Amino acid sequence: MNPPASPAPYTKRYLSALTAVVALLALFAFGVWPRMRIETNLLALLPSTAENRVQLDAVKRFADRSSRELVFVVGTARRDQLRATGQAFAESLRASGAFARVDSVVDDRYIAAARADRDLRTALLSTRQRAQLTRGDVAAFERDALRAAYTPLGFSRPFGISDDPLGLASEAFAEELPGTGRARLEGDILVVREGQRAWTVVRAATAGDPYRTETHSAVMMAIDTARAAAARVASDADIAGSGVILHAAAAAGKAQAEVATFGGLDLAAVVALIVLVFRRLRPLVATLLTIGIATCAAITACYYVFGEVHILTLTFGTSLIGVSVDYALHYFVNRMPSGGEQHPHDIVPALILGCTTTVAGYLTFLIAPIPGLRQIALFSAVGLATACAVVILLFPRALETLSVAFRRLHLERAAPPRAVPRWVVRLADLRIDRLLPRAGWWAVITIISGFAAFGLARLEPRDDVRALQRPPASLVAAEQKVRGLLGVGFDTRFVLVTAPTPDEVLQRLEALDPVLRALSAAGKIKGHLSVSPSLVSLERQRQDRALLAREVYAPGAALERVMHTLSFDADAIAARRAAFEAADGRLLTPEHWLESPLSAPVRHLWLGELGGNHAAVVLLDGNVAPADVRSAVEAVPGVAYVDQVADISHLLGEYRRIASWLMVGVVGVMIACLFVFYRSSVALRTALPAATGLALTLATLGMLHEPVNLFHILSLLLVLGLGVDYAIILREGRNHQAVLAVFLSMTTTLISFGLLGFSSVPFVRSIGITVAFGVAFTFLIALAAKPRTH
Amino acid sequence: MKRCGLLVLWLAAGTAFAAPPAAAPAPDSVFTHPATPADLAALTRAPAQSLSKAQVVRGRFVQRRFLTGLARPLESRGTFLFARDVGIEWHTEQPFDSQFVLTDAGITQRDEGGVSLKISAAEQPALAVVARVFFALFALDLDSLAHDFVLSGEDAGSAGWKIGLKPRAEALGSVFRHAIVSGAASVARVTLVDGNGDRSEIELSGVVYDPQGLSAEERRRF
Repeated sequence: MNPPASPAPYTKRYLSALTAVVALLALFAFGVWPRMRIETNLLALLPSTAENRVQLDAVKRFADRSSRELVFVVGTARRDQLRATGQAFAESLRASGAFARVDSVVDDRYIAAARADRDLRTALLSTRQRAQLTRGDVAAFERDALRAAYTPLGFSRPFGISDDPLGLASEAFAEELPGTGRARLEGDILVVREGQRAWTVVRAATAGDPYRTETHSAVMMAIDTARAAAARVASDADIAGSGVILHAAAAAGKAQAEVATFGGLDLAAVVALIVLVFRRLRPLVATLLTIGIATCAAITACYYVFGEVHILTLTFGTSLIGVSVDYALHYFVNRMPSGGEQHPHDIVPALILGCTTTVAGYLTFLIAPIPGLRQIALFSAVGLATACAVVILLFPRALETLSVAFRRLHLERAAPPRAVPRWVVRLADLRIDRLLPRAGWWAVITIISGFAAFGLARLEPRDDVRALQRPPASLVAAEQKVRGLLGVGFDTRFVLVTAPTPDEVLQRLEALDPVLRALSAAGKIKGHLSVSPSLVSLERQRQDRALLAREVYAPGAALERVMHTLSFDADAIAARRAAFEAADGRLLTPEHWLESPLSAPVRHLWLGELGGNHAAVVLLDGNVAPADVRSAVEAVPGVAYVDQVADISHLLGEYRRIASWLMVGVVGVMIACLFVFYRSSVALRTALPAATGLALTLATLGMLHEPVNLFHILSLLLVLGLGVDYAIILREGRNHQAVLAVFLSMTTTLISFGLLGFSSVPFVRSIGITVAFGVAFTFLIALAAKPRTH
Repeated sequence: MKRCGLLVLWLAAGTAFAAPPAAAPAPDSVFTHPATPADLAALTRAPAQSLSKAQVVRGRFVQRRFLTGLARPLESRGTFLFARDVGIEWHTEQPFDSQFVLTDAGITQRDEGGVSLKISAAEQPALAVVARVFFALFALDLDSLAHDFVLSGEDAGSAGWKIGLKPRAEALGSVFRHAIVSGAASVARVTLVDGNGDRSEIELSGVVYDPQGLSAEERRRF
């Protein structure tokens, strides 16, 4: 009935544990917290499916470059207000300072740059003219040049006929600029018409890191302000935006809200439960302190192992509150007097066993090479181990210190621990097998088996990358709007070209070009975007120069004939030839090109040096036959087709199968171990709740039409860890206390994971509902299968 | 994991050379009379009304291109066909036979019966601009022209009217530095000074406004 007669001693073990905790808290407060970066980049969570280091770096670099870009369409039914509306929107974005660049009008920077580089561009040829000259069809080449001088075709040439009589510079220039899809230049803005509405295009690039929450709030605020500015010009202004940062901002915002909501509700529930059951201040304070220390340890471990803490780890980490609380609760329950037994017994072995099975459950998350999952596993495992260690190493002594402090402050009376509440006694003594006659039980078992069989039959796997992240519907709709209006949409699949030198990358891109053209002609892709032909390999420039010298600039060749036919005099002809010869040896180099405004549209596709290699990306538009595209492009040396979505989905499927077999194996091993331990049918009785719980959880998922993926299976492994724990405690522990301990443990776990079931992040939600159902089923069955005492 | 922001929308466009071409005409007096589309609609009442009813405009043209470095202009002649909402066919007969067909989708050039050149407007945005401005000039679609050009107009008395167009944006300057459209009962003359400063004069004759639309044979050409 009384607290221990003599105070627990200040053992060496206690003092070193206390020192460790103080050191941990100091490290957290001064070393981790001020420097901690919360990662919001969902890419950081994704598994790497790259075949090699270069590919991995290339994918990363490309993602970093392109995630700053944003495209908006600004629409109004009033065409006469369109320019003003678009400019108001763009001007407001510019004024916000959140963007490094905002483009809303088209100017002459490209042609100006091409004119300035004229001497470096004499060896450039369009694909069409190169083909004509190479196959010796000089007649067609000359005919086209003459036609352009007489027909309206000539009006579209950026270089004049006197200056570029054969249209060489004009055609090469026209070919290198990417198309505008459905958008047309009207005045100085790009316009797309759709029914009564006209839309103009505004492009922007964020100034800050697209994965910093500060950047998110600055960008989202700037966009809201700009929307209002546009609405002041045209009340019907409609704006749709597309860009990676919008996804990042939405995901991070939601995750932060979830951390706050789930964490808050979870804590409130734990506090309420403790107050309800113990009605004492000491368990509450001690439990909260344990949770706090465990959380600090978990964050500190993630910070030092991964260099950052992902926002989704924190979302998931809120479940640590409900799970880490178990050990402290178990400790306090053990001290509650009940029935004839009054003296607490040693629960350390049970705590260690329970902690080990649960941590083992989390450690199974490590089998999948998914960085996000690994961080979650580390976070949970460290948190749990710390909570368990705090209870075992610090509790008796530290609680007495707390008691003394509380009594001094008149916060606690010297009261013995409350007895096990009556309802628990009733629950524990419930002879569930006597509620129904034997035949009734068989009926219940038959119904449950029928339910399980029906649900399991409906179970279907779906290994979709969307299990990892699903963007909000409004964002997807806006993105489709932008794509639909502009008629151009590059997706996540792209082609990666690598080679030892920049010029070889370009040569490979040039070898790839006819393959891509053939795919376009066959309707397998709609188009592609590449640095080639804006940047031409030096090799090709030299060949083309030789071709031009022979077929065009040689005495009596095409230049002379065409200029003569158009009645230019000998001086004009000599001047053109002299200009070509003067530029001998002057070629367009990647260094010069990268500095020129002409590279702007495709500069992000040139990845530059990557671990001794050089690389470039080619984007595909309207890729409708991925298998054909893959085999066609990969036939070119140094070319890889990268489809992260398919690769990740494939990987998730592979690991789902591995985890399923692992689960079957773990159940088998568990039963075998229990047989060795108990050497009787008791083993089956102990294993039954967990195994049946798993089956029922899967059946429920089937009934709910919830497609099963890797995350559900991993959660079941976690349930297994928890479920075996319940059965062991119920079997080994004293009757009433054991039931209460398991009940509390189940309730807090159920609350924590049940909350995660409401997460907007699909994989967090999957884990949440699976564990919630799993622990509920396991608890009920464990209770029903509990060995009869007395 | 969505990567969608890569809609690249850049434009081939530019302004003219800084140096004025030798053959540049003196600024026309028409540019001293700024006008709104409504003013010009009143000014060009006759062709605007005919055009508003016409589905097809047919006629003959003589085009003279004055190029830097050439003593004589390059002269071509032939027939043209403007079909509302379909496009323009520019059929050069002299000095060679060549059909230039311009629709919203792009440009097709046919020589000696075969297609010698096909360019889609999506691929080469500068062509799309030429296509649209050509349309608007021949159709005297003043509202559409007002988006691209600063308009001015002058009543030339018995000689009819004159409309001046100057591009609003640098981007369009590579295609047209300025243009003058004149006529009386119909559009009679279009003068274009292109981005390189080369001047082209197009004289139209025998213009017929046809409310009936294209014949089946004509439709095939687009």
